[in-house]
Amino acid sequence: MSRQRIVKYPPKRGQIPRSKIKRAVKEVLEARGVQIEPKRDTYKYHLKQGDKIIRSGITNNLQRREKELQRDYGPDVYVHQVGRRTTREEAREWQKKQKRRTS
Amino acid sequence: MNSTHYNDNVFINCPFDSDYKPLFDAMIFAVHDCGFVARCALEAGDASQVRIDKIYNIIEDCRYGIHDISRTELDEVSHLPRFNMPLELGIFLGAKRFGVEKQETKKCLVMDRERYRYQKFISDISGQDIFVHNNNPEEVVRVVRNWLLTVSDRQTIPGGGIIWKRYQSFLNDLPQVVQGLRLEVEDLEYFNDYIFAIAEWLDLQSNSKL
Repeated sequence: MSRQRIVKYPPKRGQIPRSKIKRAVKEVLEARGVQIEPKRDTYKYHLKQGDKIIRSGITNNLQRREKELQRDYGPDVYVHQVGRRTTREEAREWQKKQKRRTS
Repeated sequence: MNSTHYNDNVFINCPFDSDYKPLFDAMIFAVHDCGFVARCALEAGDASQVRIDKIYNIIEDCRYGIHDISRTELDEVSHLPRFNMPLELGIFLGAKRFGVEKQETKKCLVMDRERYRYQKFISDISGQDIFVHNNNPEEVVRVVRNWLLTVSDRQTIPGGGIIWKRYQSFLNDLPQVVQGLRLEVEDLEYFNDYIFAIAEWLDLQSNSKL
């Protein structure tokens, strides 16, 4: 069987903030000894114009980010994915390293 | 309303009374564990909206519909029949019949508590497969899961036994979850909060190292 699919979009807002519900659920599962792996849902990318790297960044939606960046930098820029999807934390570390290199 | 999640949305047409709650809660969990989103008239919306308009909008937004007509019976006090469920089933069938484009792709599951009972009050739907749950939540989970697997043809839907076990595990965790929110289980009556709790629980479980 393929990996299970869970749809998470909220139809409308609830009375309790969703982040609060998530935290409460996580605490209960962890107290029960369930080890929760961080999700590998973050892309690392270079924004390029031709072969030139303009900047680097992270996102969980490459297509949306490319459209946003094309609004800011013009239509000829494009997003080039770097490596595989990773966790948010690892992606942030990578982004920090990129900034140190370019500064 | 043009939802981009039309193919994930499942309209739930069933009673919302306390007697039915064990079946309702199991059904909602099964829908989410199968990778779909349960939608019903209980969800939050514009308070100024007329109820029937809200139902029209939700039905328009859902490819799938689960209709439980098992409580179509005489009210103990008024001695009049409860017709909300057959009415909403009729609206759903009408949308499928007369709607255009994606509305024509609608699929519906009709459930009752006994196999041929519906023929006594809604015989016009004879010929459709009516599924029986015998007022048993485990049976509801099995029927809903099997039907969603058949009509959606998705390969990601887990087995009925797995869903039922996960539901029992969720029910064990729920009192502690609401305690963490400084609430009582009864305070989580609000439909959206309940489905958020299910969705987050399932999502975190799917990311757990087992």
